Amino acid sequence: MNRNNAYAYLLLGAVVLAGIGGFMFSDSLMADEPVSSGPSYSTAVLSWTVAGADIDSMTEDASNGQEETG
Amino acid sequence: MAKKRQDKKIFLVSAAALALVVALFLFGGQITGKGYTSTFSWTVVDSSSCNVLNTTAACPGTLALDSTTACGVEVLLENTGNNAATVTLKMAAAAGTEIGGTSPYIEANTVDSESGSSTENNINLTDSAQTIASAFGYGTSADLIGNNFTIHIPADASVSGAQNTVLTYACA
Repeated sequence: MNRNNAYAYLLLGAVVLAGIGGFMFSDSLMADEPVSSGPSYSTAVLSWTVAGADIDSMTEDASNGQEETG
Repeated sequence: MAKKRQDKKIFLVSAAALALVVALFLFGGQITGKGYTSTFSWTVVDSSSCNVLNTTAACPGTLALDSTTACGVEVLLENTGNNAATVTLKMAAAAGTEIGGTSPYIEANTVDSESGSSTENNINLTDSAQTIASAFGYGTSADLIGNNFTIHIPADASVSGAQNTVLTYACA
């Protein structure tokens, strides 16, 4: 292969690479497609404090007036 | 003579390469419609999106047994999309599980925090999504609603002490 052939193939490789680059560049300019979004979700926390049940009165109710034995 | 033939070969190879480059550019342009530099473009996003501005609502004080209490703190919800939305709300579990006893309930009362924001429903929260607001607008001055809560603790509630539940809002 003489020097002229080498230059020719070098030139060919360069322009092919430039062409591929150009193709990719033009593809990257494509605008974003319209997007339709689905439902969006958000969360929150609801907190509260409940007064403790009156254990003594519940025990009293449960005993139903019966006297303790033993 | 041989030199001339060599020059001709180089010329042909170069011409073929140039033709290939032109073809690649044209091909790319036809595929994408963007063969030329774009100077004006836009993206249309069809969005139904809501944002909770404060993520906690606490009922102050201690709720007595056999009492019904309106909680003082509301959850604020803003329509951050560009569509009128329908908002649903559910809690993690039914009131029977969260509070227990006979006929407990947590009511969500939805109000316009900015006038004309939506059409509201007041609901008793369950673990299934229910609509609390429809036609929820996205205009800057009419895109805000708030949730107040009323809790009924029956006399025979099965839980005591600090409680909480996760509320899930969905906008579509």
